Amino acid sequence: MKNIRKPIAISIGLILLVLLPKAGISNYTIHLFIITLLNITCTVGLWLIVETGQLSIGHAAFMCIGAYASTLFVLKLGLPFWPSFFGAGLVSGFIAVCLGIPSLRVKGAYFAILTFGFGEALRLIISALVNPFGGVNGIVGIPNPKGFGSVASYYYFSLVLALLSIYLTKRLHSSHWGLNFRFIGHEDSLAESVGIDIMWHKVIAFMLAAILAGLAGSIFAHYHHYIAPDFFTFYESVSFISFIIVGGTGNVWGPITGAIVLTIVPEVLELKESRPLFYGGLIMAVVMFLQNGIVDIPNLIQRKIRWR
Amino acid sequence: MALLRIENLCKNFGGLRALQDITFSVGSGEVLGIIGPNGAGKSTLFNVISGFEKPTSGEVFLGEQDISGLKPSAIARLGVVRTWQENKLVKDETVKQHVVLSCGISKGFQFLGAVFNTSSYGSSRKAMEEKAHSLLESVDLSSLSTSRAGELTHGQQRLLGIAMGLACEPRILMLDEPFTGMNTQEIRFASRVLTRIMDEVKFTLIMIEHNMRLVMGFCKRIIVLDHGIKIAEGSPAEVSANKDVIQAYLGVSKHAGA
Repeated sequence: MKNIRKPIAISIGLILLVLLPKAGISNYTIHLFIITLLNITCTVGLWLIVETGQLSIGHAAFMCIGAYASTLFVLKLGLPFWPSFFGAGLVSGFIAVCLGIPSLRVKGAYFAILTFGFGEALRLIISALVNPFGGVNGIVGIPNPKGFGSVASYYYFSLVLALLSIYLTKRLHSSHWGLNFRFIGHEDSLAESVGIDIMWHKVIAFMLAAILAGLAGSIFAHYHHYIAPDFFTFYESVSFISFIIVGGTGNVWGPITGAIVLTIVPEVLELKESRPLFYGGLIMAVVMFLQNGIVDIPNLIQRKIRWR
Repeated sequence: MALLRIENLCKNFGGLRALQDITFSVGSGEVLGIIGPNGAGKSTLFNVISGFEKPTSGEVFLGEQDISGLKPSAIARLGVVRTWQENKLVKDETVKQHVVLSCGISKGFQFLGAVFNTSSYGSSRKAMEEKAHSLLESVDLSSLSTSRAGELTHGQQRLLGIAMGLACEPRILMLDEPFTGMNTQEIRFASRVLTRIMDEVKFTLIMIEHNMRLVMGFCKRIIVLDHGIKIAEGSPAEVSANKDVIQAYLGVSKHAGA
């Protein structure tokens, strides 16, 4: 019985997700879902990096790289969409490897500062170069890929990407890769002493996260038709980290829940400028009262009931 | 022929000369003890051999290959595996996961297999789990395999460390104070376990230990370090009769001979 329950729940969930745009909801709501799905894609990738014990506070930079790479491939090189989309992921992953090999040698705050510096430097370079990046004004008129156009089509595209990235991270997490990542994150010299090449694992995690963010960035650019350096600020990077902290770091559902809740709730409450305040307050509350994140709430309630 | 040769090994930390011109070799199947007072450089020696510290000068040869300067993970994969003086473990991971992690040493990367959960990946994963289980049986921890490592007693954590080392299928296993902090009963149990494993599995053992009775029991040959210098080498009887060794442990009497 228990064996059937899980596939059934997953199928029902998938059917609901597929039917969602047909349920007569507004384009604005679908837009919100697209942003949520792109955030999930970036956040589960970042979570892989966090598993290896590193904290990247410049992750939006890779979304930025993906967005600009894809845009320039289409507009300047005249490539079709699909090669540009996958190219964006490759460019982003390649830059991550080049950045990761020297910088992943340092840990903790030092690595975080390096990623912060990278993110800001990248944004400033793009802002300064009118050719080919369009400077601070960015690039307008990014075309729809062939066959895309409606908001729903982008929703399905983002949905597929998000599901694939969840599948990838979940599989890795339960394989020996995830085990290696966790031991590297918690006790790296122990992992090294039993023959695990920690540098290689960290670079792989960093690269995968960058590829996912790059692909998400590509979708974002084409969906939005317009990109500018200001879309990919430090604030975006910190948002991704907030999703992970608030959702919980224990398994892949934590970052996903965090991304969903923290993207949708502020919109529903129409927070606008007070959004950072909301994030900050929530992070403090979670750190103080819910160390395992909001995914742990059902467990906590269950335990409370059992005590009674 | 010697399996491991240490030649003129020196390690300086700034002005501190932690190891000075250490030379010795270990034959295949041998059990070598390393003793010395606190701060003698024993753990530094292990750190240098296992690649966690780079030697200032000198070489470490495994067979014909110079392994000094290789990465720790590469040295472990060549079969020179060390355990730690402190209990290094991830307290929220299960006992079994710790050993499975170490079994992965011969596994390579298998990225796509892991992502798509192919049957070949599944079977090699299963083989790893079975190997981990039998290793846990050999150190008498199999009943605790699903417990979290942080829940084990100190003595059990020490044994888990040894099981992790064994999971790497070492040619040379280097135990850094395997019996440290154990009570008499735990020591008796652990040394029985270690003796049994040494009968069952063939590997070369280098052991740092302060408990003299255990060192004398396990090792045919002992090296004594003091202030980074090798002051004696020989059988337990020779070493314990050596004047320099007695001086290093008990100090020099000002009224010597009086």
